[in-house]
Amino acid sequence: MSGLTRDVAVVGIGYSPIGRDTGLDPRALTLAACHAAIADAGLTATDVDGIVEYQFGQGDAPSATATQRMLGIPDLHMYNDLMGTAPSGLGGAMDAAMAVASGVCETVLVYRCITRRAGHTGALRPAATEAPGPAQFHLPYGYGGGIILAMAMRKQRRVAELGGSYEDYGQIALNARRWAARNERAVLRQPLTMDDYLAARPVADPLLVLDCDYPVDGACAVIVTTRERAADLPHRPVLVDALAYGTGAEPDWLYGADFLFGGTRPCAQRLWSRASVGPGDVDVAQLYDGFTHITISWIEALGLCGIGEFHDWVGDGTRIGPGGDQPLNTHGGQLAEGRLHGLAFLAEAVAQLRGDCGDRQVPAADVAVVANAHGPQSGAMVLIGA
Amino acid sequence: MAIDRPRPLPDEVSAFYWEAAGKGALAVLRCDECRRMHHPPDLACPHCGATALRPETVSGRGTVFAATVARQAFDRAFVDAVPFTLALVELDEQPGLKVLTNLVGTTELVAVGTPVELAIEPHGDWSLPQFRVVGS
Ligand SMILES: [Zn+2]
Repeated sequence: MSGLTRDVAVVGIGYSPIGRDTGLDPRALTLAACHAAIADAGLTATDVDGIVEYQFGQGDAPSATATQRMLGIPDLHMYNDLMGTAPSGLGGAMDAAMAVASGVCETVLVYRCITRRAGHTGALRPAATEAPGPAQFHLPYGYGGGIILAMAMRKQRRVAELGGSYEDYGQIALNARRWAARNERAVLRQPLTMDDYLAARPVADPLLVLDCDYPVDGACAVIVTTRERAADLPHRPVLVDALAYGTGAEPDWLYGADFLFGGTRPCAQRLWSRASVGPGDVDVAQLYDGFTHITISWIEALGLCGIGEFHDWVGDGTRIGPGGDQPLNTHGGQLAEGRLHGLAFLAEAVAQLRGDCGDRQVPAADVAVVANAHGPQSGAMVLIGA
Repeated sequence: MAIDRPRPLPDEVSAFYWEAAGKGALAVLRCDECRRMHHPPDLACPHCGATALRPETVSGRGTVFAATVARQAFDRAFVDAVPFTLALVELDEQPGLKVLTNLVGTTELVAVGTPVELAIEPHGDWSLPQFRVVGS
C-alpha cells in the first residue's frame, strides 16, 4: 500500500433497515448500522476510538459524539462531522483511513444516516422571497433544485460534446436493477427495459426520474482499523490500497472549469498514481450513482474506458452486469438498493472482496475501486483483499 | 406567466452586477493581474488568486453551454411557471465564462451552441439579467 504510513483495513460493515418509510428515528437507524458493523468486525464498541460521519445538517443524522454517547464509548481520539461539501459518505471512510494510518486512532467507526425527508433534494421548498449570498445568482431563476438541474444540463452537454446517446444513461439505470434483483436489501428489484427507462417521467429535460437515485431512510456503517489488528479479526481483511480526493479548478457545481467531470479526473489520476494496481486490474467497481451521469463520469475518469468512449464500451450493458467482465454497482447502487449516500458503495466492495455476496458474488474478486460524488467533492479508494 | 421571483440581495461584492442590470447591461469582474474574467463575482480571482478586480461591461452575447427544461418546480414560487428553461450561457468574451439564466420566450430544450443575447427583465426597483435565443 502506498501513500499511507500504516497499512489500513476495512474490517466491519453494517446496515440499518432500509425503506421508503421505516418510521425509524435517525438515531435508531444509526445505532442499528453501527451495532451491526461493530459486531461484523468482531469488536465491541469500546474498541472504537474514532467516529466520523457525513450529514446535511438537516436533522438527518446524529453527530459523531451523539453516537459515541449512545455506544457508551468513554472518550474519542478523533471525531468529525463532515458536511454536505465532502465526498459524500466515502469522505468519512477516507478521514478514518488517514486517522488510522497516522496513528491518531486505532479503530474508527464511520457512518452515514439519511432519511427520505432530509435527503429529498427534489422536494418543493417554501417560496423564497429573498436570495442572499451565492443564491442571488441562482434562486431568481428557479434553481431551487440545484443539483438536479445541474445534472440535467450535464446530460444534455455530454451527449452534445462527447457523443453517445441518452440510452447510455439508461444502461446505468438498467444495470442497477439487474444487480438489485440479487440483493435482498435493495428497495427496487423489478427489472427495467430500455423502453421503460425512456418512457420514465421527465424531471428536467433531458433528465428522467430513473436517472436519479431512490430516496430512502437508512444508515450504513463501516469499521476501519490497522492491517495488524485486522489479522486477528473474523473476516478476510480488505486493505485500503490508495485513496484520493479531487476538486478540479474553480470548484463549483455550475461554474467549475470542467463541467462534465469536475474533480473526478484529477482524483482518479492521483488515485492510480498511489495505488499498487491499475485500472486494468479492477475486478469490481462501485461508482456513485446519485445520478447516472456521475457513474459514467467515473467510469471514464478512472480509465475503465477512455473519455467519451462509454457508449461503445458499455454496448448492451452485458459487461457491467452479472457475469460481465467489468461488474459495476453489484448491490444495485443508490438507483435500486436505495440512496444510503455513498458509504454503501464501500460496504459492498468489502463484501465482494470477502466473497460474501452470495448470488451476486463476482468470482475471484481481489481488487475493487470505489468512488463517491462528483464535481467539486470527488473522492475515491482502491481496495484489495489481503 | 408572471413569477414572483426571489429578490436578489446585492452585497459588497455583487452590488456592481445588479447596478449594471438596472441599467440594462451585464457586467462581470476582470482581474487586473491575469486579465481573465470570472462569474459569479468573488473577492479574489479564481484563476490566479489576485484581489485587484474591476467590473467590466460585456456584450451580452453568448451561446448555450448547457440547458434544461424543468418539468417540476423546486421552489413554490415557480409552481405555476413549469415548464421553464434554465441554461448556462458561455459568454463570447471568454471561453468557459458562464452565467445561469432562463431562456425567455421558449419552453423547448435549446441545443448546445445556440447563439443567445441578453434580455434584461425589469422587476420594479430591480432587474434580472436574462437571455433569449438570437432572432426569437
Ligand atoms: Zn487573475
